[in-house]
Amino acid sequence: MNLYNKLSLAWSYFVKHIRRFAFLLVALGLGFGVITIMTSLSQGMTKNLYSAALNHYGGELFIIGYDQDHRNRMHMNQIPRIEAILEQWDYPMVQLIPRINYFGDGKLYFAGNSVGQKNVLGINWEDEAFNLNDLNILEGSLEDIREPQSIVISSQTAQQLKCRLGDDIILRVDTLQGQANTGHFIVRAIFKDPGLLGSYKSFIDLGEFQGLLNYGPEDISSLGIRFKKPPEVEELFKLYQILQEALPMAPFMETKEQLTHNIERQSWSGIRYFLIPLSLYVSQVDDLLKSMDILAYFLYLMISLIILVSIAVTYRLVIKDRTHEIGTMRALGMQKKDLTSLLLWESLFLFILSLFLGAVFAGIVLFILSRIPFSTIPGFELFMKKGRLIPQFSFFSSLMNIMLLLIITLPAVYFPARRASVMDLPHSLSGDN
Amino acid sequence: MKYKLIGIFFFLILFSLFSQDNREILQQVDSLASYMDHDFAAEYTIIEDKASGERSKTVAAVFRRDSLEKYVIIVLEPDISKGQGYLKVEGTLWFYDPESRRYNYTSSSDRFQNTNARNSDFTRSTLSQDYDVVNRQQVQLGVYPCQLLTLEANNNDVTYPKMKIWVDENYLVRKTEDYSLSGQLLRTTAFPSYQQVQGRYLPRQLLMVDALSRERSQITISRVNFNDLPDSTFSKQFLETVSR
Repeated sequence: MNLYNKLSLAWSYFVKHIRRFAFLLVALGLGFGVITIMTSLSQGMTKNLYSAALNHYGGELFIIGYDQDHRNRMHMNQIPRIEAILEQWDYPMVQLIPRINYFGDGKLYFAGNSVGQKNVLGINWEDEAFNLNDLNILEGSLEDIREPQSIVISSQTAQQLKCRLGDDIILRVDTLQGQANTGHFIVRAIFKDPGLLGSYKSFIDLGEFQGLLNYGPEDISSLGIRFKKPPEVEELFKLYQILQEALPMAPFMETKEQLTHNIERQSWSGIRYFLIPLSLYVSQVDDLLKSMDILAYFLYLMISLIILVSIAVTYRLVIKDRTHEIGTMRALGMQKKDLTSLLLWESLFLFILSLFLGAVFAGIVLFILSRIPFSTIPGFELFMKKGRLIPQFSFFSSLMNIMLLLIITLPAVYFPARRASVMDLPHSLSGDN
Repeated sequence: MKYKLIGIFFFLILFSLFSQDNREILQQVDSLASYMDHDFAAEYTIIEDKASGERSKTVAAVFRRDSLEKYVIIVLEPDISKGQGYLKVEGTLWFYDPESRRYNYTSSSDRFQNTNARNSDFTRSTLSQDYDVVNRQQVQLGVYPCQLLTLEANNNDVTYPKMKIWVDENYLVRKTEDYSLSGQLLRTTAFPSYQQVQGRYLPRQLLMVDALSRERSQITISRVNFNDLPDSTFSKQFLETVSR
């Protein structure tokens, strides 16, 4: 029997018995749908977390100066030299992002109310469009931020200050030398506080912040770098070695503990430069994600087992119901091999239709989930984009999901099909199992 | 030309007399608030009225040796901060946390225990060293006839780059206003009453108002004495011992 005949015969049998296959279709479809939902959400959450961290820290790799002559403040002033070193490094970069990160001591005031800011970020509005566009703007717009004295604050800050869009608020900081200074800023936009990485964060223009802190035009806190493909440790170490020849560098660090130790427990005079990859900053959240992954894989395994058992049991029952029909086919001269292959082709149609139904089911569920605001769950904003869960699909993970389902389905189908094909003809014809 | 030169000459003499006079006023103020020949010990009680209506109380023991620019502050209240301490030696200000048993650098411009007071408020007065008088006028402040001096910092090491101080006829400071570099009023402090201990004047009470948050603090200075303290008072060991 040629392939075309086998396929058309298998299709006609599949259509004929589709009511028998209904439960299998639902079980396989649901299984594929649930696995697709889990993997796409997990990937989407990971991507959103990484993107939130990238926006928060301003790059995928940072050169940060810690100035112990000025209260260990994040401060550096060798931008042209570092830029020359980065050219020498010759690794493809997308963008350099100079920033001032005033950490911990900035305070905003309005009409007698005050709110301390964890991070006041001085940024180039143009350079950080990627970051600002990811903010979940609740009021105002980013079109006006290029006006002088603009500030973008979080909803939590606005709520505590009892200020609104267009209000003139005061930012109090200490200059590099430690003198008190204040600046008036107009609230141009209010964004939804993204939890862990965004609580009490505000943005102002880099140049205006330099003036307020008594910084020179080349004084910043950090130089962030964005890449198409972040460098591996070997490449980072190569950059570190070039930097070390030109600047007073802190040791090369690979863990968060080393970073904390070097910043807080070591002493030096003047500015010491730190080379810090984003992965070091997010290592703790990364651990959380890894734990979530382990939980997801466990659920994945459980679902796979349920599908395997459901298919094995249901398919056996389907085959049992068709024993007489299988016997008739054998009596009409169909070979055992051809019969097994016919039953497997039937299962393939079942499998493909299940994938389609599963994909539709996953699509509907993901659409509904992406419309539900989960921002009320504390800290969950970190895994969302603009307050919404965004699923992420990749060719590799979709292929993996299909392969997994195929691996589960094949043995569950093959053995009952094989058994039915090799059964004695008299038994088959009598419908005996 | 001759008259011009004479005019400039007289202007310079008057200007130098004015500067000299102003510096002397600041030196007098400093000398009253600095104790170069004796150590100083007192208890400071800070009552803080937050904008939210909350009231907090902080009590601290302060020990100073102005001649060597050393001081120690130990927090006695509230219980949660009890045993925390500050030590200024060799130009460095350390903060000690008895819970972690660790020292961290801090700055004299930082807030003291999250109150309106700054760490620098507990040290000796150095107005004549750190500030230049840019304006002076005779004013009446309540019942006190005062000189109102407008000051600008001559170095970057002070917390407030601009100040206004009201000094009475006895060179006692009656009021100060602290301004940011951009000229924003940040804090007003009133000195309504002074006490005399062992022949020296020092405030009995200070009232501070944060101009931006409108939080108010009342600092009362009590149990003052000028007896010599052991050298070991100004050491990390002392902080650790009394914090236990």
